[in-house]
Amino acid sequence: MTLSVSDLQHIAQLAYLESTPDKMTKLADEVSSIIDFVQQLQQTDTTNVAPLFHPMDLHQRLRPDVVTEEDCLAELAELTGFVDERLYIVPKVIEE
Amino acid sequence: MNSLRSMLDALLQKQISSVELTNHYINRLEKYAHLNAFISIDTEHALQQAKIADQLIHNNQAKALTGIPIAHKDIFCTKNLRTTCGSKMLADFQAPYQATIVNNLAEQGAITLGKTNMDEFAMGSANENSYFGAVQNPWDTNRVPGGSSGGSAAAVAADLVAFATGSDTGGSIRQPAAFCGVSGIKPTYGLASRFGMVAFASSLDQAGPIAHSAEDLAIILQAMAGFDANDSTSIDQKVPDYPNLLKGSLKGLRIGLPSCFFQKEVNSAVQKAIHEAVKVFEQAGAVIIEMDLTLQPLWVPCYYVIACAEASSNLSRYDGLRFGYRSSKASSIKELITASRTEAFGEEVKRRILTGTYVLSSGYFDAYYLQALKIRRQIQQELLENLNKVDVILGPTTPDCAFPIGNCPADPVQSYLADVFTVAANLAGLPALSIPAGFKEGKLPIGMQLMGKPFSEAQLLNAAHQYQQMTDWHLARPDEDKL
Repeated sequence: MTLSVSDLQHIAQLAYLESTPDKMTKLADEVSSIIDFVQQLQQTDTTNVAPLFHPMDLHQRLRPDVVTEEDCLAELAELTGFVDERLYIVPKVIEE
Repeated sequence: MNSLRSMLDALLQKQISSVELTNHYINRLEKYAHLNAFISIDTEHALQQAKIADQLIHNNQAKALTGIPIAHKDIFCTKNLRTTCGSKMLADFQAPYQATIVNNLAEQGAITLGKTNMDEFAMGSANENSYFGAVQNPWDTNRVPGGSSGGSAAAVAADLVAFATGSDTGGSIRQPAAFCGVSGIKPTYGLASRFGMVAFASSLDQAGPIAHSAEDLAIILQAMAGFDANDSTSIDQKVPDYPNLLKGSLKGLRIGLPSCFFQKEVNSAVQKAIHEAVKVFEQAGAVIIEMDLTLQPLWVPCYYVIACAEASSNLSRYDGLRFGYRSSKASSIKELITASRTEAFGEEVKRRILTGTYVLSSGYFDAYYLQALKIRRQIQQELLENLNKVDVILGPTTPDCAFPIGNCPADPVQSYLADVFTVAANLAGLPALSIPAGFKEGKLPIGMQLMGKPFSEAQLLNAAHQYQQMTDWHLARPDEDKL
């Protein structure tokens, strides 16, 4: 198995996910099976090959730096129950 | 009415009204609700739109799709209906704007009847990963419809709507189209806007239609496609008149047959059906050229590294704060984010986020992610070089037909292999379509895939259309008594 349970716990922490210890073993098994499967990529010679991040090799399109969107707070506020006096309310979770 | 064209003609000639047509589909939606093809339905709004459509037709102001009831995959943001993406995370998400392709189709007069079921965040090949339950395949209700656009393919196959939209990151339009005996196209990357389509893997995702025939697809794609300033990867070029380009002869069309598409792992009935289809093309004057795609064994591993990496990054936005599900069990910011994500993401989504996080993490980035991107270039080059020698590459869409519900392999890698023939088009950004090409054991649809050069949709659609003029697989419908 490529990934130990503690390896997976570290990855899960980075991804903001958690799991019970019994499920962690199963998950480590499954993710290991995926990692083992994709390991075959490493046998291919890619010397002097540039990575292809995007199928069309596009460049980022730019636009003039002007405001294109009008204030739509009222419309957005209607969709969420968490707005008070133009402020978006989040739960009080910030430690003192 | 077997085709979109005949439906449009009937509306224009006032043999049927849009209200009648919409009611016809509403009745079917209710009758076949057990297929679970839909997540949300809005009959009231649809009937209002149908009344407006009838008025427009009466005033001779009809556009390309005026009065046609359709469905959108629940990955496309809509203003009148929630957009769940098949996830508990977005079960109550109401988007403040509409996807560009939703607007484009509405602009041409299509009426949205509802939103279709799908694998959570489009991750899956069986539609069994949906928070809203599995979808039944209309050809055999004990079997899966494919995924991730399983609801869309099932809805079209069972004639619950005239057509439906889908999204395709690794085969999610073509594979369910093949399993459900309908036609579907994944356009060239950048042809259809991704604005308002919930992101899975941004360099692979493309929107496209699912319908009964290539002619239907041509009509719909013309309305869907086009430049969109809101999508930074949208291609700024004129959309060809696809429906009017469905007329060239197949004489001299060079069809490439890769040997890797006919390996022993591919079901013999599927192989036989595709060979029969090749004969039809040959009889129409096409030239068959055998070819080797030596990098094919790397398609699926390369795809899963890139798709999972991009997914882990895209799905980091679901933090329980900005939108989506929010856990009630938290006392710190970290706990809130972790609990919200843990409670609301399904198993497959978690597996892919973890895999993606692993391949992007320090110490593994070069060996996995960067290496996959280099191989992606090699795969694209091999396909483009071969597409200089042939006009289309033909093969089965999937190695086998629809499998029973609840029969997904325990090993995730085994289920990923269902995408073995479809992922290449996404990695290379190429257009590819799937059309019906026969049945296994007389009842399970078999799909045939045609893949072409970038922006060769007109040629692919014409090849598929000419094939459908010589065959009738696309006209077959599931037995209504067994639905």
